Amino acid sequence: MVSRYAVKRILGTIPRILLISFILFLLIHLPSGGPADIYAGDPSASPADIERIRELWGLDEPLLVQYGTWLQNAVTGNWGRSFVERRGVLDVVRDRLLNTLLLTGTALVLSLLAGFILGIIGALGTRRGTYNIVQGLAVLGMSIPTFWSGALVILFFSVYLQWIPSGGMYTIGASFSWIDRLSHLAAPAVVLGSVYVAQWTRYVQSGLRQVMREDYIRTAKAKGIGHLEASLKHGLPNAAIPLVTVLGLEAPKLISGAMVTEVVFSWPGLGRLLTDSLLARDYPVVMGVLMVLVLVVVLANLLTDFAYSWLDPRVRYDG
Amino acid sequence: MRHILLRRFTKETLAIIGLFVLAVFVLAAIFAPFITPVDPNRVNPREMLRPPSSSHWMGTDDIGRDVFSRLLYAGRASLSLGVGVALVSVGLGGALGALAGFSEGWIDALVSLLIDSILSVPILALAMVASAFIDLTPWRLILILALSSWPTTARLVRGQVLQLKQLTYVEAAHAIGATRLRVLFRHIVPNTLGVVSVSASLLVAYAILIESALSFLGFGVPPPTATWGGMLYGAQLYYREAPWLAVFPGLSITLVVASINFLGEGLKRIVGPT
Amino acid sequence: MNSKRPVSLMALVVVVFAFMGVMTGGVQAITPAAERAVIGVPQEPRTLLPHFDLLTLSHEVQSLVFDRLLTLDTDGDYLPRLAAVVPSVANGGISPDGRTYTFTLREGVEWQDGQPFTSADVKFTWEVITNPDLPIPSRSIWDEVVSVETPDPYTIVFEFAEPNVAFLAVTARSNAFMLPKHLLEGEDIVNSSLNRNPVGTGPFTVQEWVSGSHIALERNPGYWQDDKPELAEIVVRIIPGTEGQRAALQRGELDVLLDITSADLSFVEGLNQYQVVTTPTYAWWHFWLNNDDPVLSDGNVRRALVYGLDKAAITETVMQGVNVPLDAVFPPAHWAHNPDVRTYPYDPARAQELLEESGWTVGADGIRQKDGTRLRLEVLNIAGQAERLRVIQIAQAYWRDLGIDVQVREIDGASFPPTMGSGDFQIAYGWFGEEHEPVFNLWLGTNWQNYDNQEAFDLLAQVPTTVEQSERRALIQEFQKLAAEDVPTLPLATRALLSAARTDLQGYQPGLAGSLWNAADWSK
Repeated sequence: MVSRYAVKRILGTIPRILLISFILFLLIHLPSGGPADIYAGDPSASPADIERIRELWGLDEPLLVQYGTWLQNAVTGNWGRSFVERRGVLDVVRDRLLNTLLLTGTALVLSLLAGFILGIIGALGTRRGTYNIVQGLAVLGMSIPTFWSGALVILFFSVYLQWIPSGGMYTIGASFSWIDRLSHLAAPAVVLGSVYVAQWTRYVQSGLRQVMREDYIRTAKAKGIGHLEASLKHGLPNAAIPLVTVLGLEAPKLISGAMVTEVVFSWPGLGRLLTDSLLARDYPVVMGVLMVLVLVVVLANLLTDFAYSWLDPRVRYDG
Repeated sequence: MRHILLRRFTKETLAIIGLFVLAVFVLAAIFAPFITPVDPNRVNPREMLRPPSSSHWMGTDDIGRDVFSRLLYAGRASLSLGVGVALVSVGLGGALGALAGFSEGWIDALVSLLIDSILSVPILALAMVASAFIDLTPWRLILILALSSWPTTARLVRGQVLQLKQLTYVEAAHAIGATRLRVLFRHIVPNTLGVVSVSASLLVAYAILIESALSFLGFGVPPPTATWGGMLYGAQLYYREAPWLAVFPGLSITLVVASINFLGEGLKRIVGPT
Repeated sequence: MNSKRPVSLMALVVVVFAFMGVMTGGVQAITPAAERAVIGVPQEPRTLLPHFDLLTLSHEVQSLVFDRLLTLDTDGDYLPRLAAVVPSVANGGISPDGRTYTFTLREGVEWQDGQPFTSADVKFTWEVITNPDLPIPSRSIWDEVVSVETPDPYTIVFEFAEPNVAFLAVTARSNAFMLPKHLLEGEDIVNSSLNRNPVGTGPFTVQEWVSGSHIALERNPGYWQDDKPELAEIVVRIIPGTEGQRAALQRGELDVLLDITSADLSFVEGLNQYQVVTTPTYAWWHFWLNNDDPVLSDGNVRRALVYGLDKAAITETVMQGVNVPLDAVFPPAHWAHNPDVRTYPYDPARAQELLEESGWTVGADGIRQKDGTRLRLEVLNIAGQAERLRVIQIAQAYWRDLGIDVQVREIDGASFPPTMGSGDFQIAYGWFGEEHEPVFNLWLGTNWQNYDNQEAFDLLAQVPTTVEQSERRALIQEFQKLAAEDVPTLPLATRALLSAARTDLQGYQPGLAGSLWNAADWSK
């Protein structure tokens, strides 16, 4: 039963992966000024040399033919070779993917933690003021441009207090230590995560409040279970279901955020790879990074679906 | 009905604060030429990086332009960019979403496929790819951001329409022979306006933030148009020596985005209390 | 609910292990700080296999691993590297007719894998560069060689059909590194593993390259210079963000930070363990003027633009006095620079006169017009660099005062060359790096400004075949005089290279061959 549902969902993602790959391919290849043109500024590179390189890279073929070739190869696991690094695109991307997942994953966990804590405080606070302060703080977190807050974090914690390093994933050349790793990870993860706290807070809060109004909580309270305990025990699972749904939808936003955070904190992730390869017009890598991001998002959506149907088996919704 | 909405609104402290702050920024942007006589693009290289003073309330930037008047005019650009993106995006998303929800069948399948496809690319990545490959103008940027953000609205509207169609009065209207178009415009469109307006207001905020991120990555609105994002990006070389360069545009973005979010959240609760 | 607990637990364990797996990559031993230099760079090198890329940073890191036949020292004189001596007519290395170049190679040089370096490697390098099936962008001069002979392992003879004065300069060019024949011959060179793990004859070997993070290099014990390199390790660390770079300097994490801008000057000067190192180069900032444009084809308009721009207001403010105003189209650091050309001191009144003379009169909106056309000019710029934009905005204000409506159009770096090449611009801002032997440059090469003066081009056309350097200088200086009259492009300022270096780093001496060319001599 479950597996048939799963297979159906997985197969259902194929058309959209195909369509978006086609859109992206056109978007990347249509405009003038290709990978070979970045050399044209150097007078030692003659126009004939530029044309020769374009031909060698197969960029003079019709676009549809190029897309066909790309697709055919991509399906068999050959995502082409980087024009500038001249390694397989999958190798180039693999070097960065885990780093981005580590950063976004940690940011997600931290923001969920903060969201739950703030949400509980906000929901249990009897006064309207508590609620407003919690909401206000959380929303401010998502409203500050991350490249600015990130720089301020560096300025304060790295330069002024000297608590954390200036960037990177670990101290280069030092032997391994958990403290070192965590001190590098903490700042970018907090800055990236701060953007999402507001949303999680909202879901937790409204989930809790909804439950607190219901009869069985009142009954539970009447039975002598504490207000807090009763609310959390029933309220948190209730809040978790809508939260799980949104998690999947938020995956692309999280990656968008990581693209900026990675530059600020010199984090060697996919976002920076995308920026660099866009500037170098490294089409195969641009395409590769984008498709990996698409696959990550699709996977996140699928996991959300499965988690959702697992949490609430009545739902097998076909969106 | 209206009174109830208004009374509900007065309970939303944060939304009221948001509305007030937003109003200040919008008015400042509209009346910029009356508030400051100084040309925002007036360069004075011999007067650069001056701290706030009585002649330059917010100091001068790295080529001696008055930060205060740039801030006002940048507000115009940033807010219109946000509103522009929201309008185009919501218009497109609303239309396609309604179309899909209403017609079902293969049109629905096609639109839904397009929605899912575009939603599976991080919006910043999509906007960056698009803006890296064309000559950017403010209008094109609006178009790029709208084209990458409409599916969110479309998905919402489609869901709403599908739900509304099940409602009895819509079915009844069908039964008494109202044309499909009439049903759409008389019964369905007005009922989705609430969702759409919330989603539009949040888009304004999101567009302002995305533009600042694009500026930072080197793909933002080109000069001479100043945006808050562009100003903040230009300030990053001077966080230490001239912090006022970053503080004012940074705060403007933060306050406006937060205000819009408060307002949007308030609206959401008023329009459809859960 | 209970049945779900084991699943959740498993998921948690998987996540924790994945987390630990990513966190524990890249363990290694630390080198004492005195033996180690960390170089911060804003961008990642693209490949370490020479000749396939034109990014300066790629060349910089390549110069740690590879050697050229010759190199330029900081004064612009040749130094022998893999060649034992600098060929000259006097020592018989260059034939009197300037057609044959004979290099005697240094003996006892070994590749980093222990194989001997010989003339066969030099010949192979030439074959690679000129191979039309390889995507090598820059082949100029190499492709004019008609024959290469290797009479013995330490002698190589290049022959040209016509006299060619630029060959020494080409062998000393920033990317003219020698390739190992024994590792590349018959291999798929484009996709060779040497792209990431290069084997050269240089002072350092690549130990690890962690994509997006850093490249670690260690001392090559078999380096041909005795007792060099002094340092045991060099780490090239990629730091893209301004704040990250500054924090790294302030925390003393770096020994050198390459490619800083004038906006960083006051910051670096405020740090007591660092100094700013300013290096004159052959590069200069200018505004390309499209001489085919209907408005700019008028010499009066072009001259008005120069007269109306206070160059010093730019060099002293935005450029912080690092660069100086320039009148000639060759920078003072270059041996062929002509200090005695027509100058255009800031004179807005004169500029106004010239515009009036050409029939551009001030309209109601303060903008000049002629026959109903407003005087509107567009400046093309490469997006994403704050300093460039500031310069343009100052120029914009000055030209606005003349009654010219100046707009800015920004495009990204990769679109810039094709846009310029297609002539789709009026004015464009940028810099150009002149060659040591100017036989291909923005006149004989791209000519994006569409300069059209036969007399001037005839002068330049004689340069490649004029063997005597003093005669070449005379030709080029005469050319500069003509260019100063015509103003085919608007020279703005010199372009010095700026970097920050720790004061206790000895021997750091960036120059015409790059910033890391003498890293073997560095010590702490």
